Amino acid sequence: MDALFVLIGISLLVAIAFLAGFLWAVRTKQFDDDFTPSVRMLFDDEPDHKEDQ
Amino acid sequence: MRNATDTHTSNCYHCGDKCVDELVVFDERNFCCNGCKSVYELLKSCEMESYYKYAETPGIKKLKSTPKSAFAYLDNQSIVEQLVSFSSPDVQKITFRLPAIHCASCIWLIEHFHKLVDGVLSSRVNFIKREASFTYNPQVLSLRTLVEQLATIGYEPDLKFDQTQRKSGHKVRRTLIYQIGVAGFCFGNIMLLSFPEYLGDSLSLDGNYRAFFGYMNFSLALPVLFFSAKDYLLSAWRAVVHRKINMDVPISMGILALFLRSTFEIFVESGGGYMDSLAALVFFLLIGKWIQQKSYDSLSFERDYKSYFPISVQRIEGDEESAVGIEEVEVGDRINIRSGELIPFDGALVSGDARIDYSFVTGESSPVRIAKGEKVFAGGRQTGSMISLEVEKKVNQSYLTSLWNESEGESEKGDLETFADRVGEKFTWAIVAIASTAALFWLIVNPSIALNALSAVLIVACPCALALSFPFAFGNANRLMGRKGLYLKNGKALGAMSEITDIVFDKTGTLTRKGQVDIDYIGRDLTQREVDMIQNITSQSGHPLSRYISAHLKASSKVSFEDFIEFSGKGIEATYEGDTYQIGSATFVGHDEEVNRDGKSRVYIAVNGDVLGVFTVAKSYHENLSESINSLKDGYNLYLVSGDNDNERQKMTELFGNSENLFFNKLPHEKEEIVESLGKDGKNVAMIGDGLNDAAALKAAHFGISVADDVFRFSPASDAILSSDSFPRIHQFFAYARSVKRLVQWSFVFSFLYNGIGLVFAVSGNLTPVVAAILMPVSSITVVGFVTIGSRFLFSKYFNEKSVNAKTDKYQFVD
Repeated sequence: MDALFVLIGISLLVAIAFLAGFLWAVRTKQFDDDFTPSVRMLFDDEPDHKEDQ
Repeated sequence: MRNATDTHTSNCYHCGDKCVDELVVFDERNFCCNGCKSVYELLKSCEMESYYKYAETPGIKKLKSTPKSAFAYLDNQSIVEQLVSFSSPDVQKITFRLPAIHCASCIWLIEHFHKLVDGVLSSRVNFIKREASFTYNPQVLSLRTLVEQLATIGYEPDLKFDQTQRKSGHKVRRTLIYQIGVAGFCFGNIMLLSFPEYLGDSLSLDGNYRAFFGYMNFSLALPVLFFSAKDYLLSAWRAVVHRKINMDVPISMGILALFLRSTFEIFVESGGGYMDSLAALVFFLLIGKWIQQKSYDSLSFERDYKSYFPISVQRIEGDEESAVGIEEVEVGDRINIRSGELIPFDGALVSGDARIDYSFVTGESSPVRIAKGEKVFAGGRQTGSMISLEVEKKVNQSYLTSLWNESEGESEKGDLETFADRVGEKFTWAIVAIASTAALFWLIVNPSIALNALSAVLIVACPCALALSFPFAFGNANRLMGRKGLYLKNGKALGAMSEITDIVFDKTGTLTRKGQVDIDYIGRDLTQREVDMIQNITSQSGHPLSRYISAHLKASSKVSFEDFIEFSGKGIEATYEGDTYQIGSATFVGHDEEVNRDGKSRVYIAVNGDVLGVFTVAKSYHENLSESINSLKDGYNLYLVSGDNDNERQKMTELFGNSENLFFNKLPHEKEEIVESLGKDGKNVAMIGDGLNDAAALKAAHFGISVADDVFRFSPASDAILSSDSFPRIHQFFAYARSVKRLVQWSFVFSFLYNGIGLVFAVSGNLTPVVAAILMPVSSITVVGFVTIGSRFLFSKYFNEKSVNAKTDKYQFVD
């Protein structure tokens, strides 16, 4: 049954990793604007013609 | 306005307006003006036609072109440094407000700006805030050129004085998101670790495990208490220190009782504790708070004169003029104000033809003429040609600014006065009474469980459901009202709105529509030729009445006159093919002066000395105004406080039904005093106004609504911004706010019911963790569901959603 201590420890570490991911996402401003990215992803990629000239 | 009766009613490919006055055909596409065409041409030359792909007719019609010199001040390096957020020799970063952003195409264009302009490294749009950040190379591209290029394609940045002073403003919102994240993390893990405890003795839990789970729960609860719940505890503490009670007090009592009781159980009795309920409570509360706060980021409710004044002015230095920041201007300096520019100082006119449009200060849009040497006040806009002023007061001491600063200090709306907090106060006393009675009872009967009973009562009585019903009901109602054009600052504002007993209206710009007039013609019928002549004559004059008339009439041809003289303040005389046309005041055309009491302006028309008739120009009131006012009459005391003279007193008396509550000729501070004195009589006053002259009154009122033509442009600080188009719905908004308050009161019944059930468990000493863990979420979810569905139902009832056509607003909000 002692395995339970280890398992709980591991599960907590995994959860902390997710929390850290969330905090990182907030810190990198990903939660500042929750609308524009949803539009931005629909834009088609276009070749940059300036470089061709 | 007349509808276009022309045969060509095609829409502009660029901006979507009807091509009424002009039709420019280019590239087999229709454009309403050359401005639109040239933007299309520019984008096409850069292979950026995708702009027209993501939204139909995304363009912005430029009503007036900004003169090249308008952004000259951006050549001044000290001003540039105040504006940019980052600067190095090769890279500068800046964030602008671009109020014109309104669709997906706008995002595309701004974010592909580097294709259009050399030197732009990258650009990023925040659609909700109507902001864009640019990174550019200052050696290739100056800030001035960047701004000019943006203006060329129709996205002129809103550069105002406050931009030089504002720095980071995102902190608060992010803290809340962190708090929610941490609370959610702890809540999930504590639930998992508490699960064995729910099953009770059936799972014969080894003492070791029990203690281990307990310690884990305890350590996970610490960040919840000290980080996530921090704001509730601090707010409650502050309130108690000030000998007041707000909604956070009973919540904090519950949180602390949960934490202390659980800590005691874990460490002394090696029991499970209620840490799961604690974490869930905080988590739900924070979500409620988030919903309530998540209102309109793009609208600013805290704006003051700083976001209205320009960044710089042209100061005269010897024979030359140079752009300087407005804070650097000293008393005695001379400045030049060009046509269309805003005056940021109080000063005296030195030279030039001053016609000052004080519409933003007073709501009155006819320009005021100022004679040489007379005072000009800050906040006006010059409509004539260039004038020179001598500055008499620095920017932070002008009449307008001082008015603002005065009201800033004194009328801080006490947070404790809100509806939620008053309920919280009653609630707290009830809890204290029940808890102490229970504790006393058990002290006499069985002292050993007295402390248990006390803490159990405090835990169960924690007004979780109650605290959630406010933010969810108000937050949801807020969003729904936003769809109809009333944007509330936050949930608390709705609470204030629901309590209103008296409503004070401003007249000009609030009851009337800004810049719109009703024009009537009385007299002999005009022939088409005469209409053509009148339209052509008036279109060449800058006088506001002429402009209204020329916009009202439809001419079939353009005419150039042989003779055209404008007699300033009197009228215009023009000759064409031997006929002399006179347009102007009664004395000018030789007609008897009529005494007018109806507040209408009259413009007489005469041909070769014969008076044909008269145009009457009256301020245009909102449609269905009397209907809205009549609906508000039952239930509210209505007042009118106007800065104008009383020549429309009769009309207003008819509208409001009595004349006692009508005040005319009121100065800004007198408006504020009227609102304040009503407030002192115990009334909850709503002030509805539009101009800076109402700013002080808006702040003094219990609930201030500022009416704006374009909600993204400047409007004075207030609790709510009402789109001018939605003014006729004003009575529906107030009725809805009241009904939402009643809905919340009904939700209390549920909340009390659950608390009652919980109390039975608590007082009898049977509050096990599993009971607490079930009772709390169930009560929260039912209450939240009840108010969310209820507020939606009431919305469709009050706004009759099916019959009202959904307004196709160019500036849509995202829910």
